[in-house]
Amino acid sequence: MIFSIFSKTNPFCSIIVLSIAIVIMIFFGISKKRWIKKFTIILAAASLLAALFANIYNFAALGNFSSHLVSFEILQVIEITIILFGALNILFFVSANNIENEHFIKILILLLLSVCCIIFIIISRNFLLVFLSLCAFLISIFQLVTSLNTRWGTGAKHILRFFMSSSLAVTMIFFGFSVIYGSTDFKNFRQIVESETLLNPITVAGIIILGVAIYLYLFLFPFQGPYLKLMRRCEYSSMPVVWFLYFPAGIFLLGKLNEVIFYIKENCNIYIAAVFVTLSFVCMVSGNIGAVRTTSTRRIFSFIFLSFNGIYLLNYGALSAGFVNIETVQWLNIVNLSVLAVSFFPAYSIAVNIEKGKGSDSESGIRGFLRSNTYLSINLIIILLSWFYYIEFLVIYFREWNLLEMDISNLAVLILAGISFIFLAVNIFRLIIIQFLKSSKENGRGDADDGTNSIVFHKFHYIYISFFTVIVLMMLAAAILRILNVEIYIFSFEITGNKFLEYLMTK
Amino acid sequence: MSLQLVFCFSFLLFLLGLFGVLYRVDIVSILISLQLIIVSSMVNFLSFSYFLYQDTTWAIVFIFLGMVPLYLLMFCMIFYSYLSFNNLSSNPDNISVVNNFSLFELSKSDWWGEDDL
Repeated sequence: MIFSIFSKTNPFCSIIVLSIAIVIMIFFGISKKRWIKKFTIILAAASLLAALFANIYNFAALGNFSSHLVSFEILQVIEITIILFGALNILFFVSANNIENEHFIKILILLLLSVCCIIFIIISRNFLLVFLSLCAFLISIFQLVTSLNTRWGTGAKHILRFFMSSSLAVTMIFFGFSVIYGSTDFKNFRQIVESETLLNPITVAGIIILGVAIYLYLFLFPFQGPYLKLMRRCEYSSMPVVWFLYFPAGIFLLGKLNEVIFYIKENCNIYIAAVFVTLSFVCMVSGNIGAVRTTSTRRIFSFIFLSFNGIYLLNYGALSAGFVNIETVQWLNIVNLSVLAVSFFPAYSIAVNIEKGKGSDSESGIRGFLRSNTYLSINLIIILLSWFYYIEFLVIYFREWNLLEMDISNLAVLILAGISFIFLAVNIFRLIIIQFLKSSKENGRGDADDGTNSIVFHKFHYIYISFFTVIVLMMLAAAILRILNVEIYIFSFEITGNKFLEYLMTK
Repeated sequence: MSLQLVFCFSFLLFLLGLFGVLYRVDIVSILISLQLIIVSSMVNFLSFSYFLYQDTTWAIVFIFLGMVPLYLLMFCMIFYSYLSFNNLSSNPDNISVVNNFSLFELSKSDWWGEDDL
């Protein structure tokens, strides 16, 4: 029976599961009773888990699905899984920080609605559906962020700035689609690539406008102002919402241009490589310099997240320079997003607890954290060290290349990626070393900085952070085995393979 | 009237809108500039459909379905700004917010953010 339901609702199973939960929660929307709020948290979590199961089971049972509106393949399954996992963590943050909010149940409804919209973005392939789901997503995420900040008060102007910039990006995407439609009469990118009309200058102009719009949407340098201002002033759970719902939507939009980028790369390799490498270098270096300059933990995390967004561009730069193929780029982008999810959630949850305890987001909050809470500090160090996964990207880029055979674009990627890595390492070591330093109280300066000792972490926090540490350690082991070319199979499934995605695609 | 002329006109509108969004410093002007970009997209859809594709319904559907959520998004933002800064006459801070609202500034604070609020 379940199989027949899945076959009829393929590939919208996860959306339907979430929609059912939304409909049930609407009946409790105005309730302020605590037990009903707890019930809605359980309902939301159960619906997200059920959607996760439905997503994977559906694909395993029925395989790929493709129509003129949507495309549901292994890449989409993995992206939806990451989003649902991120949404579960966001639910944890929202519940921990907003359960007293009178609009709490409405906030949860908006959260599930945003997840539904982003799933639509992932599976859509038709221009119209991509655009509609993007607009619906932006509306729901705007409402979610504003609802979370109703009691915060200081961020209204910056919320407006942030979403006006996003509106500009969406409007530009609308214009870009109008130009592409006009020059080709096609309704999705695959048709354009297959027909080879992409060399038409008007189509190229449309693609460039789309690319600029996505760049603007992601608030990459030099457009980062509204993002940084908002992150400094918003409520605690708004930051994960922006990081793991808002930004992934932009990444998935960029992913829809994969085939187009690959096609353009075949025709004007050197120029597109130069553009991607320069942009990624600016993003990664500026992001890390910004993080080094600041003393606010919120801004440190915000800047580092921006610099990691630059890695997506670096992957496309590596593709253009001929280091990797399109499947590897898709795989690296997914790895990047996954590692960000497993590292930022626990690290940020520790930072939030310290900020709440101290009343300030100054970096002095984590000074001496190793002495005050050794267990969580060691976990935090392991999680921060996971950001070195960037080394694996460099290994994948350069393992088949001889330095003497490289041309100018290859060398540029190598040098710029290396410089970016040095800046990232400085930030990681800074965040680790500061935990070893003595706090102000231990130094004999009994000022306001001695709050770390009195901060109590809930038991659930310990479980939550330990869970992510275990995942990080497992990913680290897999990465090391992959670099050493050691093959490990589980049920004839190579879990350490470099061509994991290609392997899945062939199945 | 030729397609080239209409396309140039729509591109001009787009550039005008983009310039307005990036240059103007009050919320109303920025919203009007966004409208210019939407209108230029609409002109594109209609002109290409009329001149090249014999009035296909797809372009009309895209315009209609595309503009509804875009205007809904803008309405949400106008409503939010009204709720947040509606007391214009009595609170001078709100006037400064509405009239001093550039999206992107070339200032140190905007580039690096700030540590002290």
